[in-house]
Formats: sequence, structure tokens, C-alpha cells
Amino acid sequence: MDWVSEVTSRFSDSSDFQNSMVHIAGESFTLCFLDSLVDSHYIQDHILEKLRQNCVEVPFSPISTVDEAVSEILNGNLLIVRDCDQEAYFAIGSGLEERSIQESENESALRGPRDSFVESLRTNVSLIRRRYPDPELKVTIQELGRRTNTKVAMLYVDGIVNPNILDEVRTRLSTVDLDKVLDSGTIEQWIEDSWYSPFPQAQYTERPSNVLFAMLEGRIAIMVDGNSSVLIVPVTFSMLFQSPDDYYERWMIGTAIRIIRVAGAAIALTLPSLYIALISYHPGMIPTQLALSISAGRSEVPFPAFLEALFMEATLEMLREAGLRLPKVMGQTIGIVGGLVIGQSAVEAGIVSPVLVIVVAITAISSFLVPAYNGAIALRLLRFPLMILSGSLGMFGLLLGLMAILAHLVSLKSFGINYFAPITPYRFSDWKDLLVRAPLIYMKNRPEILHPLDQKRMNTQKRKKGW
Amino acid sequence: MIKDRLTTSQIVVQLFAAMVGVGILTLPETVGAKAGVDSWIVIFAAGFLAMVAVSIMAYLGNRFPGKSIIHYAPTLIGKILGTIVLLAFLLYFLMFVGTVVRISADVTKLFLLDLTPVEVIIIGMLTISSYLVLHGVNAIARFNEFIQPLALLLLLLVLTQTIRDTDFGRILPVLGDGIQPLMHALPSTFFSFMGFEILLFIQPFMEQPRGAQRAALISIGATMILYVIVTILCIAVLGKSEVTLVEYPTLAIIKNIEVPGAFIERLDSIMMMVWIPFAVTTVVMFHYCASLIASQMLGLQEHRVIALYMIPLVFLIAVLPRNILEVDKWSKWASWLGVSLIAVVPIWLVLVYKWKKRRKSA
Repeated sequence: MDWVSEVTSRFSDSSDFQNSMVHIAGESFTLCFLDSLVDSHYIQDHILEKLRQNCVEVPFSPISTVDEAVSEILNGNLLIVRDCDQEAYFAIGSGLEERSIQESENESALRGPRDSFVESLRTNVSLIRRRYPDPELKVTIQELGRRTNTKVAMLYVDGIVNPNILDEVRTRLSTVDLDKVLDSGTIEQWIEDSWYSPFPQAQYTERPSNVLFAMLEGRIAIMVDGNSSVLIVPVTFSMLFQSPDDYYERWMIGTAIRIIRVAGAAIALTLPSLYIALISYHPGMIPTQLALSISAGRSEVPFPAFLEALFMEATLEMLREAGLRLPKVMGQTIGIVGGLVIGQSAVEAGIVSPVLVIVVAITAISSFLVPAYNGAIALRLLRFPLMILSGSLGMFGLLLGLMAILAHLVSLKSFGINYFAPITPYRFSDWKDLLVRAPLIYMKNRPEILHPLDQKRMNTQKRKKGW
Repeated sequence: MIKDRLTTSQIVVQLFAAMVGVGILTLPETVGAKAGVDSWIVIFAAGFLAMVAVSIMAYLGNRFPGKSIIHYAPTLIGKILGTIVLLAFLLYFLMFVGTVVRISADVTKLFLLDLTPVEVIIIGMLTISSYLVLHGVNAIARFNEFIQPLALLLLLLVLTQTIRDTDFGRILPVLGDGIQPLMHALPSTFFSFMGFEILLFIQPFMEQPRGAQRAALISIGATMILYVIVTILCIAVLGKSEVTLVEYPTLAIIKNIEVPGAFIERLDSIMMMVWIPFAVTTVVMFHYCASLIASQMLGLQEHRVIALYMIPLVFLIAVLPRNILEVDKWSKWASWLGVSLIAVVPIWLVLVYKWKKRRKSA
């Protein structure tokens, strides 16, 4: 078989493909590689040096098919063909240029490890392996994506994760038949349970400590090559309000922070609709003093409360989105425009009432309390249907909307796990890590809802009661 | 896959959800009109009757593990009679759903949305309940588990504020008028407990069906205590003659509350927030059981399509009565049908079961 011409024909019209002949000790070899993936110094220093020592067999692995050869070249390795007998080998290339491990920008931590995932799957797996040096940690890699052949790794701790959940995740991953798998979001949307839900059905994180923490609870991590965010499944609603930092701090502080987060989520979800319902339908429910001052502020406003609130909330969302995409320098301008022009001037111009500006501001702040971005944005989005409901049916509408959200949450599942667990169905032992983050030594068991094979998380027998 | 089953605590909450509904607003008036200051005795008596009835149902359910009345009624009393009984249950459930939705919508209209057509409120409630029904009994149970304790807590919290206006002398003397009026009040009091009969249909979904009886007794006990608290408070605040004059005494006493220094001016709005979920969850349970009967009688795998077909039917039942008097009449019919089914069918089935068993062993 003529390796060189076969491979060259596969790579026709690719200018970065190189096949160069070298003569070493009377023998001639042909090296085929992509110079965009392999460093020329590396070839000079390592590969040719090895060939000169005439130890062809040892560091190089033989190859039998052209497809194999092509895929090795595409992975940044070299194909070496001995011209006399047309034996083909491949040698490991030097690897690609990649971003170094840095602190995560999206998930900043006050305490705890600061490193974050990068774009290379190898590095990402190594970040986990280094923290958990035990063969129990399983890493299964498969190639997904019809054209991109992206490597997707599934990580779990054997002996903790429930086999039912593992099977479910594995089956769902094996069904992925997409043109391209460029990011974990695509995988997430393919394997999730219901596409019509606004709620995230997989958690993503950039911090290795989060992934390890989740795996030790009995969850499964999914890594996609070329992507720095790692998916964690299955997830529950309560995870929206949890952050690993809760466990680094003392339990009272962790608990207080969680309560603040839940309150923030509730405010972000309902405050504007509550405003609309109370102003336009049930002014009698507000204390007289407050009702008077609100109506005094609203006397100039020509719009109904619903339109007024919708206008301000929509503006807020626009500002947020604009600020997200802009470079940091421009972001300040947005802040000034948003804060001063829209806030103050809108009140002065008599378009909105001052109370509404406060409502919108509180809503904005509290919506940022939810640590999971995808959860926060779901709650922010649901605010608008609730506003429409309370604008048309008052408190009753708001109540209907909230019940609808609850009905949706309780019917949702994530890989066979109830999404609303452990709140309902009641799993009281898991409530220690729900709204309250119990003291470390009282969280003896892993979450019951995940049915882990190994229940015990710690053994407190040796720990003395009063030292 | 990890299978979902109803836990014992879910059954407690589920039955509680089915029982506590409209009754919490109207019971003090209906029972007070007949039994006066001794209303609480009647409630205890009715609760006791309900406990007896539910025990018979649990007994039946335990004899046929994994089966609901839809399966064992035809095998016990024959296909024709069994079908008639099940159709009667179906009719009762649909009537009940319709009237409960209508009454809830009327109350909501009265207290929250006086300009909104009642049909809109009915559609709103039915949308939520149908969404839940489509997701099956486990989702309903999880929904109830979250919302019932929360609503109950809020309700009790609001009720504590009425204590300031109470005069417990008003509930004396005990049994001043003898037993007679109590007997008169018993049926209509019993109506407020209706809902526990869904145990006949949901027992096979349980993780441990043996725990059904205990769960049902706890549930009825809790309902009984809640009703007694509400009724005693109503009579103690309003007095026995005034209780019968207002339409919704519970809301009336809460409206009276003036909390010093509180942010919320009118606590009856909170009461409505509590009560609407109570009403919706009652509707959900009955709607679910109705679709369960229909689908299993037709031999369908799923209850969903039938549940959807029932929505227009229920809507019609809800909007057909022209005024509150007609609604009352309809709900009376539904309740009497229900009471006779609860009283007759389980005992009948148990007797047939015993007879058949004896004949088999002989």
C-alpha cells in the first residue's frame, strides 16, 4: 500500500498538510503531518532524533489502516512511513497550544480552589484526576458529532453513582447524532428531559472543585473537548440555590446566605407582578399611608401599572443584555445611561412612578443572587408571564401563575430523579442541605434522592464530642 | 429507572387536599345553622363516621393488593352492577369538580375580582388543575406536599389573629338543645369531609398499601381538628346567630382582624391566597380520579386523553347553574350522590367479599 499518496489524497487542498522525506542512516522515511498542529522544533528535536537512534519500534506504534492514519494526523500526531517496506507508524505530536489554567471569570470564589477548566479535554480531566487519585474515578471518552467528532468524556465515581442513573446518562449520550458538537450546551439540550421547560436540567460549572463535589454526591460530569464548562447531571431545583462556597464557610453563614438567595429568587420572580396586582386591582390591601404615597407618585403617570412595569422591566433586561456583551470600558457607559438617564429621567418625565423604579431596582439586584446563571435567567424570564397574569387577573392571576410554575416543577424530572426533590417528595434527611446547610458533622449521608451505592459520607465515631 | 410510588406521607397530604376545600369557608355556616353552639360535636361525629368509612375502604384495598375499586368492583358484584357503581362514581366526581370550581370561582369573584366574568376564573383554575392531572398522581402528590403544609401554616397563622376578638362563652352551653339538632346537622357536616373516598382509587399507587389506613386516619383527624378550630373560632367571634347570617363566616372573622402595626392591611386577602390552592387541589384529585375511572373502564393505557375530554364537560357543569342558589342545589345533589356511594358501596363490597370467601372455603 502506498501510504503517502493515500494520505495525501485525503488531505488534498489542505495547505497545512506536509509530507517531507528524510534520509537517515541510509534509509528514507516520509513524515506526514499537519503543520498547524505540530511544532516543527518538536519534530526536529524529538522525532528525528529518535529515528537517528534507529529505534523505530520502541516509541512509535504501528498503524494498519488509512483511516487510522488520517485520524492520528488530525489529532496532531505524525505519520511516519518507512519507504523501503512501506511500514507505517505514528508518533505522538507535541500537542496543541492551549489557554493556561486561570481563575474562573464567571464563577468567582472567595474561598476554596481558584483554578478553572480550560478548552482542552486532557487538561480538564487531569484537573479532576489530580484531585481524586483513585481508580474508582472513571473517565469514559467517546466521539460525538457526525462531522466534528468531538471527544466527550463522562466522569463518575464508581461505587457511589447509582447504576440506573449512569445507564440513563450513557444511553442518552449514545443517542447523540448531531452534525456538530461544539459546546456542552448542545449536549445538554439533546439529553435533557423536557425541552419546553425554562428551567435548566443540567448544571454547568467551570470549577473542578464543583465537579468533584457533585461526583462525590453521586452525580455524573460530562466534559466536551474544546469547552471550558462542564455539565453536571442529574440536577434538582434546590441546586439553583447552592454553591460550593456554602460548604467552605461556617454553617450559620452558609444557611443565612442560602435563605437570602431563596428570598432573592422569590422577590425577583414576584415583586413586579405583586406591584401590578396591588396597584391596579387591590389597592385596599396596602396600608393606607403607603397607598396614598404611591398614588401621589403615580398621579403624573399616564400609563396603567402593567404597562409601566413592563416598560421598566423590559428596559432593565435590555440594559443587562447590553452590558453583558460589551467590553468592560463601554459597560460603564451603559451603567450611567441605565442608572441616571432611564431611572431618574423617566421619573422626572412622568413616565414611571418613583416606587416602580425602586421595585425594578430591587428586582434586578435580587435576581443576581441566584448563583446558577441559567437558573437565574429562567426566573427572570418567568417574571414576564407572571406580570401579564397579574395585569389581567390581579392577585388571583399571580397565584395561578405561581401554582402553574409549581405544577411544572413537580412534574419535571432529571434523568429519573424528581426535579423538585428533596423538597417534595419529602426526603427529610436531605433537608439538612436544602434551605439550611447543617453543620458538617451532621451531614453524614450523601443525598438520598440520588440513591448512591455508598451512603455514608463520613464516620464521626472517632470525633470526640467535647474537645 | 427508579419508580415513583406514593409514600404514606403523600397519602396523608393527598387525602387532606381532597377533603379540605370549599368546606373551610362554608362549613361554620351550614353546620351552625342547624347545630348552633354544639357544631363542634357534630364535626367530631362526622369525622368519626368518615374514619369508619375510610377504614372499610382501606380494608377492601388491602384485600386486593395492587388493584383499585375499578378492578375489584366488577369481579365482586358482577360486570353490570360494577359498571353502574363506577359510572355513579364518575358522575359524582364530575359533578363535584364542576360545583367546586364554580363555588371557588364565585368566592374569588366576590372577594378579589368583582368585574371579571366567572368563566375566566373557572378557565384559569381548570388550566392549572388539568396540567397537573395530565402529569399523573405522583406529580399531584408532590404538588400537594408542597402547597398544603404551606397553605395550612398560613391559614393557622391568620387564624391566630382572630383570637383577640373571641369570646369563648359564646360556644356554651354544651348540648343545651339536646341531640336532635345534631342529627339534623350531621349529613351536611359530613359533606365537608368528602374526598377521602379517593383512597379507593389511589391505594394501588402506594409504596406500602398497608399503611393506607393509618395515613387516612391521620388525614381525617387533621381535617377534623382544622374544621373544629375554624368553626369554634367563627362561633366565638360572631356568636351562633350571626354565623348563620353571613355567607362565608371564616372570611368574615378574618376580615374583622386589625393587626396593629402590620404591613398588610387586610388579612382576608391572605386567606384567599390560602384558600384558592385548597380549592384547586380538591378539584385536581377528583378530576384525576374521574379520568382514571373512565380510562380504565374503556381499557385505555393512559388517562390523559380522557382527562382532556373531561375539561369541557366540567366547564359546562360549572357554568350551567345560573346563580348561587342553583349552585347550592347542584352541589347538594352531588354530595348526596357521593354520600350514598360512600355509605353503600364499600360495605356492600366487603359483604360480598366475605360471602364469596366463605363459600370458597366451605
